[in-house]
Amino acid sequence: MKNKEDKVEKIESTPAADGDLNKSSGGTAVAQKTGFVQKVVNAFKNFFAREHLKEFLRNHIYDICALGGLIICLIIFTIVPGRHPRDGKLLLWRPQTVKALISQVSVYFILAIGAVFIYLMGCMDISVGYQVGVFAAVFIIVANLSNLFVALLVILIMGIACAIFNAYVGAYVKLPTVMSSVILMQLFNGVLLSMYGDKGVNSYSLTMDLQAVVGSTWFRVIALVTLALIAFYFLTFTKVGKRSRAIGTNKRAADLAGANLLATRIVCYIIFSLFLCFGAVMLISRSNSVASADTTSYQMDIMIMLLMGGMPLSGGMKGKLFNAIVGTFTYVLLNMGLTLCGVEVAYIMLVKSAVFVTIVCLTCRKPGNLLPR
Amino acid sequence: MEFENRELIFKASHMHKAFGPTIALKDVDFELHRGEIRGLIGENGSGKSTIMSIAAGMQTATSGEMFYKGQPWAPKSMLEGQNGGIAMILQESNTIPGVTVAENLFAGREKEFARFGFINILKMYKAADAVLAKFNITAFKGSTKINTLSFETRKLIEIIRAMEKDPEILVVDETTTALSFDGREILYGIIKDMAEKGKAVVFISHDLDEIMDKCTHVTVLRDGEIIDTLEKKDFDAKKISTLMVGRDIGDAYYRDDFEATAGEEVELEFKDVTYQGIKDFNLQVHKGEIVGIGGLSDCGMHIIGQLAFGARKPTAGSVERRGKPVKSPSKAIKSGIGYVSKNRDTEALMLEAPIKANILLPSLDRISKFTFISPRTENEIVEQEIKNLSIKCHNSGMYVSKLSGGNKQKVSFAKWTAAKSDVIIMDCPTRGVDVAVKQAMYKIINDMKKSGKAILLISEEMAELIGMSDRLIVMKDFKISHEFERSKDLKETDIIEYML
Repeated sequence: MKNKEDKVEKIESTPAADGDLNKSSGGTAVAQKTGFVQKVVNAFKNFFAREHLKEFLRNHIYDICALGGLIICLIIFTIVPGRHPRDGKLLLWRPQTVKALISQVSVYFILAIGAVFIYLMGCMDISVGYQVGVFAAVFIIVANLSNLFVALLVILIMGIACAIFNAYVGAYVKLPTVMSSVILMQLFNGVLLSMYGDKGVNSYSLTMDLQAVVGSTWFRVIALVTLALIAFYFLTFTKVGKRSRAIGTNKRAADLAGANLLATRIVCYIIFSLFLCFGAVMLISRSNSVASADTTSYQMDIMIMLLMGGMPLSGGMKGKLFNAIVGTFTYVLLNMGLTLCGVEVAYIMLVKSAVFVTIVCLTCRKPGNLLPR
Repeated sequence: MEFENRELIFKASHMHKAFGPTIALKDVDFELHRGEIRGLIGENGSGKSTIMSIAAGMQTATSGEMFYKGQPWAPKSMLEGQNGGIAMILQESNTIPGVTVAENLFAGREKEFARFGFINILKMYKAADAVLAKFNITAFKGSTKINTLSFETRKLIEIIRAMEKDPEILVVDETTTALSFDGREILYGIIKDMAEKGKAVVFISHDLDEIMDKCTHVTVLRDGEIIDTLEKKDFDAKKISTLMVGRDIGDAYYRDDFEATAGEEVELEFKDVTYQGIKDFNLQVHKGEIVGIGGLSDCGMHIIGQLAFGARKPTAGSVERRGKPVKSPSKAIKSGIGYVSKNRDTEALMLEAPIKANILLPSLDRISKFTFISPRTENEIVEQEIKNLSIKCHNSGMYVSKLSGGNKQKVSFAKWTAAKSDVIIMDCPTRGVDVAVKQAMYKIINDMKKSGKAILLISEEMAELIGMSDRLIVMKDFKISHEFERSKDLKETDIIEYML
């Protein structure tokens, strides 16, 4: 048998009357071996050529809007709340505020980047909050009985079980995955009730001091960056990332091109669940304890965050980690900024829902762009 | 001359259309007369569909004006176009799934059957049956659920829906390839009838033989410009294709050899496969062999393609690749099988994704090393494929939805050459592509054969099967009705005898 490589090369270019487009314009033709500086200059020239810029804008319109939203939030909440009466520092930029911001961002951030893996496939999960709540409580109970390692292991196993359940229900029963997450939501809600309300417990506390070990702001930042890098690697350079986007774009075509629906879903949901577990640990590290109402709004928060970051809820090629990061910061900033401005909690909810409605109205005009078809 | 005596029904002058930087129509003047069956022919992206979709109100021109029955004409939507009398049947499927034939036929006209806000569904079924009877269709009724009908039959319903409004101009855009044999005959009947009644038909197609056979005039377009309009007496296949492509494409079209050749090794084998109507189907595809399968669209040949790829599981028997059964598409790909689906836009390609992502998808397993897929390897493969198959694009990040039909098809070929598949199943690989692209495709297929790939070529085009296959299998009612060896003397009529 001949060498496999030869075969492709044997297919010579066809004599059809095309290919001129390839030569005349386009980024590929320019990148000749002319040295690094020339390459960079060419890349810039190419980028700012009118049609390329237009194409870039068209493909990244939501990302640009999302980033714009974050910047606007930053500007508004730097100016409007004003300065602290005693030390004269800008309210938003006082060390205490920044610390609180990072502390709030940390849990959301982990959950949101985990959620990217399933949102890319066009899946949705509304059991996140209840899952995290149960994981956190179980973690504390097991850790108090034995140690942190065993506790982490237990919740990881629980997470993986949930992941497999979600993936199987979606693939075999042919239910939309959001339905399997409804089942999980009910289930975990019941578990939460039996762990808290029925026993008359309001919160679970760790006997050992997790806060002292992993609670410092620097540790948080390092942990977030590490997790983001891991997620970035999987989303950009591996089969999982590429196949999940393919499934979100066209399930049937993806299946016929080797992206096995069930296998990809299982892997993505497992990654998602692992991130939920890390999120639960991060949540505990904030105060060494977890309360019943801490987590229950997470699923909707995450959906809003991803939307704010420009993630298409129908999944597909345009979704990326960037959306989760920008969305998380915008959302938390909006929350904190409004509080700093002295807006009451009830009104903050109103503002959030107004923002949500605006995003949906702006983006769902074109079918297939952001919301599921 | 007869051509000038007829009454002018539609005229477009200085029509210009641009999609961003791409210019689809350049200052086009187009006239259509009553009683004409006008063929529009040109390569993919030559603008032939664009002219008529503007006339029918599907999109608007960037500049220029149109006149219809002597009046200025600028429809803002397809509905407005239809109500004015210009109906267009599109290439893509356009029926509403999940409801009945009658509801599809009278979509948007439910009011005619309503009383006190309730729709009299029985009355609607009756009306639909009457319409179907008018077109001599008895195979299904108004109350039939559309999902139980084949893709081909649904297309027929679209045609009837368009005709129900009694249009003055009927535009048929690449529809015949999506119709069954009977459906085609019905459509030809409608077209002829319209021309005789002094209306006009515009027939957009890639099929030169069909255009030459059915049309009274043909207009050739190239790169958004009208090159020439010929009358029936001047029709000449060679001349028209030269006008289309802009150069002589020569005689090399199908394979130039007439000898059936194949390797010894069996690359793919059907062993007593049973699935739905198919019973105990046996077939071997050898290394370096092109096995053609032909027949009517519902003879079971498309199912054979899906079975070969593991996209359907046989109820008995097995499809084997080197002694191992093919169980699923992903396992098929791992064992070196590729599949070019008939439904290009829904099954073969991810339209809302870059060319790069499409081409690489089946190769991911091959190029992934310890979970890592190197962007450099990716780019190398994609650039190579784009070059080898001459895919017309700005860069590999361009979305497939922005490509023309022929280039889309090239991308779906590139997926499997990139994956280095040894067995390639092609289901109607040249559907909806023009002569020049077809020629390129045939060359690719022939090169694949020469490099030792085994090819299962499923097609509804007899000429293509005769021109390319080493062995030609004709199917009828889910069975092999005859097998031909490659030969210079094989004629379409020989095959059709075993198809019907």
